[in-house]
Amino acid sequence: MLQLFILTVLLFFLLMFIFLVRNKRLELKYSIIWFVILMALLILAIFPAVLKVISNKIGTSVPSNALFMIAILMMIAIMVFLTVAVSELNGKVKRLIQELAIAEEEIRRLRGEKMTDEGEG
Amino acid sequence: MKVLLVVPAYNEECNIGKVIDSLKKQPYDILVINDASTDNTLSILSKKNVDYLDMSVNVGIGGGVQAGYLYALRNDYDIVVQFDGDGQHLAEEISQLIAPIEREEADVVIGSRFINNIGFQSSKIRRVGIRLLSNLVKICTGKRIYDVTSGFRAVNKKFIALYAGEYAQDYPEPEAIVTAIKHQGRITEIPVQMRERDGGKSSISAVKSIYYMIKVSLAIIFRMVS
Repeated sequence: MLQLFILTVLLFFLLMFIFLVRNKRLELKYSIIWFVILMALLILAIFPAVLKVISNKIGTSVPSNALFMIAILMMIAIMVFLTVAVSELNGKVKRLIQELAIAEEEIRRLRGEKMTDEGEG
Repeated sequence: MKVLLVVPAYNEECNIGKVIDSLKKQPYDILVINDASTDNTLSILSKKNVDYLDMSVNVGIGGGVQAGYLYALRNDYDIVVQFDGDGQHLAEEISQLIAPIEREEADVVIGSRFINNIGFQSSKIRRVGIRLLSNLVKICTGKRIYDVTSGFRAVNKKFIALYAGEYAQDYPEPEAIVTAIKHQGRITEIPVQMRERDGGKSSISAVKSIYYMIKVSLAIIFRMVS
């Protein structure tokens, strides 16, 4: 029953991401990490035995702890990914603002020159 | 040599007019950077008949100054002088500041309060902070720069191009020194006087100073290990 519930939730998320990418609300580039994580979760949901193996390997006393650990690690991965994306955007926006200010200055100067030209002519 | 004075200004309506008047007595081009001020800075600039960049969104002092470097690079300037818009620097000292670059003895010249120790010396707590950062720069680069936070500095053509490409967005001064040293820049400090600002307030409040110290220290360390 629990397995069925988890599978439904995961399927819902999968459909949501496909929908978001299709409608260009989410760029494919940024959706990849979500799809990778969803796939990993789907494998765990379909084959719970995998979780037991992982739990034994890393030495947690109960499999659910391994699950929590995996979940936390995945969330950290997503957050790192997001902060990198934000930093990139910040750099790009900053450069755009600078370029805009320089272009505006040039327009002001050209307008000024034109006006003095007309004044002389 | 073509010299551009880059004057960052954020909400400096009380000071910027006087600063521009004093700079106009000098034989250099002026470019004021209005970093999306919310006061009357912009209208003062348009009345003063001075060249300026008007940032449409606030980009911090580093982002603003970097726009100045970009402008200098595009317009083929040989020297950029950073000169704060709050009136704490003296226009008469610009010629001394750029002299080492004109003689081709330095790539970056820092105007320092702490060589002759005359003029406004900043508060005790700030001097301690500056001393700490100065020590950190010394440990990381082996070079002693006393006034690492000074915003009064001159930069030659090679480093104009460097700073146009990479310059920290906020609190950039100490980091920019380390960047220059990492690129084999010759850095000279010359004694200058600074005035206590008489209008407006400093951009660094008490709460921000903790962030300042952490951010700048991390930035210096990251610069060295990268």
